[in-house]
Amino acid sequence: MRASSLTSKPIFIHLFVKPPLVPLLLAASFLDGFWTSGNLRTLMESISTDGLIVIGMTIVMIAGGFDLSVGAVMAMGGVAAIVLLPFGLPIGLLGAVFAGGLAGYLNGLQVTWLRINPFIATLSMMVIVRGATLAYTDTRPVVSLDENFLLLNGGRPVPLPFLVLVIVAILAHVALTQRPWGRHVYAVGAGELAAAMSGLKTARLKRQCYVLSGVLAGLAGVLLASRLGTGSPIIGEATPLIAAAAALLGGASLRGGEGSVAGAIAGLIFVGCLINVLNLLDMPSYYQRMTIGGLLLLLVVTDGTLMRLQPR
Amino acid sequence: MFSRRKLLGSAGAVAMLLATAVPSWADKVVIGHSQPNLGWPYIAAVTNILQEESKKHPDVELVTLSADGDIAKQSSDIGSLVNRKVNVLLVTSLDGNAVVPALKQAADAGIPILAVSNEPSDAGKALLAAYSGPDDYVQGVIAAELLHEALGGQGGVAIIEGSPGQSTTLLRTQGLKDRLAELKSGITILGAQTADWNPVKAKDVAQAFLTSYGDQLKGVFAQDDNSGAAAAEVFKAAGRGEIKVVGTGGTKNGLKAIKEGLMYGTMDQSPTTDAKQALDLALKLAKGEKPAEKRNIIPMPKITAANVDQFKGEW
Repeated sequence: MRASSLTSKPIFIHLFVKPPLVPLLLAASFLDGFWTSGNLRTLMESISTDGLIVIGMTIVMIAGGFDLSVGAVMAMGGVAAIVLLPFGLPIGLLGAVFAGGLAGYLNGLQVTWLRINPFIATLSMMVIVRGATLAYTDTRPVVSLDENFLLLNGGRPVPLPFLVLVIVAILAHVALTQRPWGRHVYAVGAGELAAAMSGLKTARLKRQCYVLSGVLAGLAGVLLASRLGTGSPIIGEATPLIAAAAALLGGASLRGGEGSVAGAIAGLIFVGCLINVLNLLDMPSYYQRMTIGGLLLLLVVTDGTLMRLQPR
Repeated sequence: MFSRRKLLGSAGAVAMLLATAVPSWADKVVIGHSQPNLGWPYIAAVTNILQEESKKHPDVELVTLSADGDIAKQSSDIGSLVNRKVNVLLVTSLDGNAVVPALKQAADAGIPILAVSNEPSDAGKALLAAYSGPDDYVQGVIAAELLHEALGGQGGVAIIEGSPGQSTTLLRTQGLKDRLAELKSGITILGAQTADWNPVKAKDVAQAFLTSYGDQLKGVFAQDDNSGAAAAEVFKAAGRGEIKVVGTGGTKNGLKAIKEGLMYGTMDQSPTTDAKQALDLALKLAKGEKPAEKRNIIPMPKITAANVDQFKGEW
């Protein structure tokens, strides 16, 4: 089966070719200050929130969808957590995750029930959620320097959010590769009609994927708010693009039915390390964006060419 | 013929070179600057002038990281600068609250922090060695005074705000409101809308103000000159050129609009003064000196048609 052959893609492909993570890390070793514990902690911090979102985005993309609303949902999650914090940390956390899940469920309803194209459906959700968050906060960031809340970003040398990312990544990897649910998600993405004919509840599976993406975006929002001590309604505008870039670099495809958690995380670490290395090299930020965009284009084009050359 | 003396001599020269080169490299002062977005004209001007000025000091290296408008990236940027063990950290914050944890990291590492061009929130201020730059709140205050005198203390005004949620926007609005109250001015604030520092959006906002407030609208406070000049053009085209527009910043566009009689006034905020003062303070901090004042506000003179010729407009 096509899906299973893709999930079992050897791990070294992710590390050397798509994306070229190991070569980048080797090159980074020549830079002063890359392998210092402080720099690695900064790197892990910045990867962990985006990582949760990339995992959600990858699952949605495997199911043949896309989620543009992740950045807005992340902002909402951070604001919700801080607003609910006076009722206790667990309530804040649950509230943010529930709000994210609800947005994801509405995304799923739009895509499955109203049959709206995922880009349009999640674009509308992105604008609605962003607008609602701005309206609720009156455009002002909500602030909490509560010690317990800031501790969510604590932990040395490995920050707590990074541990959360590792756990979520393992769970998602197992669910996608070892459980029937995962095979079904790949099947829906590879061919919805065929999956429906073979008796899968495709609409429900897709909704579950969007809910997962929303929940993870909400959780990412909480962790980010803890890192900044602030729930900002304007954060995460570029997040869907970074997440999509990482997922695509890691082997997911807009056609659906392809991709893996390991690949997506490798893609994200690649983007994160690249930005970090370019920062250490003092490259101005606009050239950094051009580099990442150009690299994405190069890898995707190479990938497409290779696929066309492959004998079917 | 290679004499031994010559060889020894050249070895000595190399050693001397090394001896002079190594300490001077080690003594090099590294200044890290985390700034919010190179796409904003004022920030870009300050950043460029800082870089030009720092080149005049051969023993100073200035490292600039831009957050591209993303508060999470600014937090990582500051983390990177701390990890590089810069001698002084300059921070122009995107969000005065969200930088606080990162500033704490820098303070814990013993790096003196100089806020440049805008100030962090109170929790962040406590971590600063000093602040250098304009005062957003005072700009709102000055705008209130200009509008108060232009309108003879009565009438309705509306505010064209900068990006929502930014401390610059919030403080300028607050300064205006507070000063109008202090002056016991009869001026009422009809409403406020954001133009995101974008003159094109400002035209739409100006049109919307005309539609919703009609003849009640006597004055406008635009939180940047470009938006103010754009709004004034809309008012003139609608035959409401008598609406008094007060801008912020003393930009080329703003000064031109004042000369042409489109805008009533603004206040100067010079990126050159801002950057030079910041670099002077940064060098002092790098030497371990304490600046005399914690808050070093650059002068922000009022500009109206009466004195507009004295200003050249830098950005």
